[in-house]
Amino acid sequence: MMEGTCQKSCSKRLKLKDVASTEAVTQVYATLGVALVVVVIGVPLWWKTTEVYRATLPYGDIGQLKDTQVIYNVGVEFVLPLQTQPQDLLDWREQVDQHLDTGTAYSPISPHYDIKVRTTNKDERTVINQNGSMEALDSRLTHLKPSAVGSCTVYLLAKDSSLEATAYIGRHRTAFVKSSGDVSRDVRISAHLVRSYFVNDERLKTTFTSATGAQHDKENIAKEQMRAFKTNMGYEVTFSLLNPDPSVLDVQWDMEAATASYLNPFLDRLADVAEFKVFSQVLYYVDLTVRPARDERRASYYLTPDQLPHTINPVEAKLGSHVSTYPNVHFLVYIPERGHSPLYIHNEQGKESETNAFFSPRWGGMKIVNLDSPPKNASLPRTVTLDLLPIMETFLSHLRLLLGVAQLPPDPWIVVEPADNTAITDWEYDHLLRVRTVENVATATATLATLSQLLGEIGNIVINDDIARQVYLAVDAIRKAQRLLAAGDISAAFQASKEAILSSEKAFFDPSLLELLYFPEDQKFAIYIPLFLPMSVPVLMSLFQAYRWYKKQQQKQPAKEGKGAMKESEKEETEQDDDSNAEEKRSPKGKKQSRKER
Amino acid sequence: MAERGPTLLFSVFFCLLCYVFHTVASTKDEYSEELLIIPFRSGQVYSHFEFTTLWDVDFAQGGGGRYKLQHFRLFPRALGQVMTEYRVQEMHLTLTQGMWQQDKWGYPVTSAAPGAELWAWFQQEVDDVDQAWFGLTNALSGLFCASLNFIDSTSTATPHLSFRPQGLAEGLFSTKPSHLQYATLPRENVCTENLTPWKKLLPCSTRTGLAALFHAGQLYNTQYSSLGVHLRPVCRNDSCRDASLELRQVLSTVADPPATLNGKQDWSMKRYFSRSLSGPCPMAVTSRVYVDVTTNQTSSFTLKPEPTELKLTNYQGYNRKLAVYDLWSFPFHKEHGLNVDMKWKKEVSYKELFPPRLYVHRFVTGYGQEHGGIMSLLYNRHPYLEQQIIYMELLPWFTRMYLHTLKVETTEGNLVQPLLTRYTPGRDRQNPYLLEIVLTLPPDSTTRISFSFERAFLKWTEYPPDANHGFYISSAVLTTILRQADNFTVPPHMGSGLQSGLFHSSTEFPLRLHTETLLISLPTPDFSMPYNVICLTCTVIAIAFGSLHNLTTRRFQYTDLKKANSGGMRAWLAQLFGRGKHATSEDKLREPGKESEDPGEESETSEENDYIGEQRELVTPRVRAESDKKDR
Repeated sequence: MMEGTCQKSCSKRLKLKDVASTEAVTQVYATLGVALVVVVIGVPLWWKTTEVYRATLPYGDIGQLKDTQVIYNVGVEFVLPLQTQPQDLLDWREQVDQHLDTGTAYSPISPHYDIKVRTTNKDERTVINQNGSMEALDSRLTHLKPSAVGSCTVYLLAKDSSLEATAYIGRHRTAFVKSSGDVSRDVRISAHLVRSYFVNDERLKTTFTSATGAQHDKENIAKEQMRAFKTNMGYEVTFSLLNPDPSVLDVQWDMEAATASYLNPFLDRLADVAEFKVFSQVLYYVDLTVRPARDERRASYYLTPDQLPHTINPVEAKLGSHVSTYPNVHFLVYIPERGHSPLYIHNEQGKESETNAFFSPRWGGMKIVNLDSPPKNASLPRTVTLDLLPIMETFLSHLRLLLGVAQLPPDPWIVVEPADNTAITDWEYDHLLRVRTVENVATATATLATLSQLLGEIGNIVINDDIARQVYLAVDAIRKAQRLLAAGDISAAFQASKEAILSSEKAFFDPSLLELLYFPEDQKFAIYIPLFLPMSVPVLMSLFQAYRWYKKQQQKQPAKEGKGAMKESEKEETEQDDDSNAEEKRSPKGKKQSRKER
Repeated sequence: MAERGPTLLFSVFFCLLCYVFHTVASTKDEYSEELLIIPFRSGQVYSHFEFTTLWDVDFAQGGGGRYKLQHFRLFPRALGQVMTEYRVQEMHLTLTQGMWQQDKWGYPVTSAAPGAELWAWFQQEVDDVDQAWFGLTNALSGLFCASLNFIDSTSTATPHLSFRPQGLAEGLFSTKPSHLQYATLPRENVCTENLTPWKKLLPCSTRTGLAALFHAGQLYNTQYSSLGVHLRPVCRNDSCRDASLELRQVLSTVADPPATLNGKQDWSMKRYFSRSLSGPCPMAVTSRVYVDVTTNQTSSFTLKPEPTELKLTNYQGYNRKLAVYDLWSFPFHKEHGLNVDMKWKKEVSYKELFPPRLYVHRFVTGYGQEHGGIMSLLYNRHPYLEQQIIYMELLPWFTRMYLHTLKVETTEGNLVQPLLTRYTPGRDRQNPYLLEIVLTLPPDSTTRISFSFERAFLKWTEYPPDANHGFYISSAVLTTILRQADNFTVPPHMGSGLQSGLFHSSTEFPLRLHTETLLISLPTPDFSMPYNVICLTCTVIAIAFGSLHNLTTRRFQYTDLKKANSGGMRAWLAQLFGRGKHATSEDKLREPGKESEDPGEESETSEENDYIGEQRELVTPRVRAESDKKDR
């Protein structure tokens, strides 16, 4: 009976079922259509329109720069006396090559020596044979044949020459070595002069590695480098006279004349390296906040080394002026007040410092000048004019350190001629240029690498065309500097490295990089939530439905295949099943059982 | 006549300024400090500090730049460097809290607009004035901790008549009219953070000398307090072949003793500055305190200690008696310094107030949020002299001024024909409206200047915080030359320092007056609006999308609710809200087993319309299938 009723209604039901299934298909297609439009057009459109502008950067080139080995070329000329045997000349050449060979070990920076060994020519011989001081000889030889910036010449002098020490380094780019007769010894000394004095490749290396940030361990960073300012386009040098009690002493100084005669020769020599602006000022009623200790024995006062940093901090607020972007180099002259006079600076050993001055890395220096206090019955204030020569000498030596001029350990066998009034010798200048170039190249490369890494990591930083242009400029300038260094043209290399550092810093510190940094991706989503949430619910729901329908279709397929093997009665029974009844479909056996029970 | 008037006035102005000089020039730089104390008839006490630094700078030096300040002694380096960097020839900056009441107090030594006012003449060689002005405002902003960095082109103007150079302006110092920049910030609040950097510029700081009296808490607990920095080139000597740079640092306060002392008028340094003077600044060539005792003819108050000198001055029949304390000759004791003490015999002895010859008031007129107007009343109280004046009005771009509504008439209704009108129309978000008119005020009259403006709609990011507070309009400036000096606190002078004004007579007195600042309200939106708009738009779009989506992906059909059976939560809910009771009673009668027989009947309806299942009438078989499962 059951079967009979079924046969009656089944055909009708099948028809309806057909209609239902075609409709289901249409609905699924509609759903998929909508989902497709949303996913294929809507999401990319939204993504594109809310994206930030990012200009393309030469990431590859920057990565390459980082791995490029920096090679600098140094022209070295060894001049031997005429009477040298041809065999010795060959020995020289061979051994010099050995000594100045950099080896095969890889180093990010390495020198390349362009070595020339020859005997003296006629003109040089006449000059050398003239009697006179080494200083005169040096200047005459330089006059005869000035060596190019960055190169150096070593003369081997005969045993009987007037040179007393083993070696002598002049003010220019020439060194003299007194021959000992032993070729290998002479070569060793000559090579040492070149490597440690003229070129100082160790310092170049530490400078380079610490500037790239490759070396974080502080002990290895050259101490000199910690002292010196980083490369800047210019410096503001300010001399301040601190007079804590103008009612007692009216201290005057003629800074205008002092800068003209002591400071300007040095600064003019460095005009290519940086721009200098010199200022001086007198500050009244400025006193140190630290209390100096009293030395009863000598009726004086002293400051201990650990007190010194505290003397600067309170004064600093009154020194500054913030008009230019150049770093300020401060030199203070402090006149102790009557109650604390005389005042000395003690060093670690508790001894009075010779110059009565101290030096603060990357900041400047301070000198205490003790003046005689006026007698009690004298009319006040007493006018005193400062003698600026010792003061300027101290500050000039500080300034040399602050600007990174190398300070070499003294060697009793080697006489180094001190600089004249320019306060810097030619070879020191060369070295300074080379160090600065290498440092700039390393810093600019590191800056670019950091920038590209940063931009790669944070996706919502805007990179505008200006930044991109600066980055390209910096990459080009670094390449140019590297090329010029390898060619040995350090003046041009320095200028290129300066451009590189300028452009790279400009790109790195561009304020537009920060504009959207605090508007991260998740906030973007948060703003669009009122739109996305209500829209995504129906789309997702229908997608889910579509998926279910698809699943069902998949299950129907194997079910149909299995039908052939089934018995007729069973077949009809299965066809009765509601299509949507997934539960029953998944376990036709269980269904059958339940029916039988019934 | 109308043509000749203004030119005459300007030539007079120019000539006066040509003879700026100071006489003493022995050292390279010198510094002087002066303090003037005047008890007003209204009971208030005016203290005016003036610190002058003169520096014989070599102006011709330094190629392009007019001067290159490098080696500083008394002149502050912080300021000098700014001047050199931006090639400033003349600069006047005032930072003022409170309003100077002209009709009660007469004229101040230096008039200042409430808030911040800055005007500067740049050197002739400056090519890009805007750039230099931008740099200068930013540098000064940092130097004085003021919001001067908010000065931009929308608040800067170049008046042609009102602000002529106050120092040398000829030969080496001649400049172009376009090199003047003037701006005000009427909303600026001035307080101790501005005083501290200002004090630092003084060579003696606040350790000794008159500056030792500066106690910020006391200085700003007053009715009026104004700081000023004025820089100009002046003649070095009478021959005026060389020039010097003059820096004037000015601080004025008006204290109100009766208000703080239960009506008593007594005044003393200790009470009003909470300090007394311990001695002069060692670097100062002049260090003096002047107390105006002209009103003390009837010896209504006593002054302690005795002044070092009593001076009588007379200009144009106007007598003035000054008690002078010269700090260099005053016998200072170790324990106590100089504490000028004014003791009044009677509790109060206010005197009749005489408003000055010329003064001005300004108001906002109109109503509503669209249109408004400004009216100024210019009083000329002189019985028989007419007075030529320059009136300047600087309006921000959002108050769009209508020039055709400009009306100048006396209160009696007689039209006053302006001799000259200079009008620079403003442009939205670019520059302000500038109006300068030259008028002749009839004797003994009140002249009314009025015009109307339209209030602009701002973009929502252009509103300042607390937008409903309103917007300030800077004070109008009235510039003129008076023939009489009787209303001046210190008659204007060409030399440096107060004493040249107090003790030298002149025949013409340039005067500048600042009016009240105005507060207007602009149409202000609801600032949560953007977020509301986002939410609303998104919701509308989402609803539209949802309906559209449903329509395209679903079909709605009717089903028989009786047959559509339930048991699950959703169906139960559907029934609860629909014909609940009927359905449930039927449910109970049914056996769980039987239900599974039926599903086939309803399978024709849509398979996928779960959603619709929630609607009351439409219950899908799917629901039942689920309920079946649960039952089992």
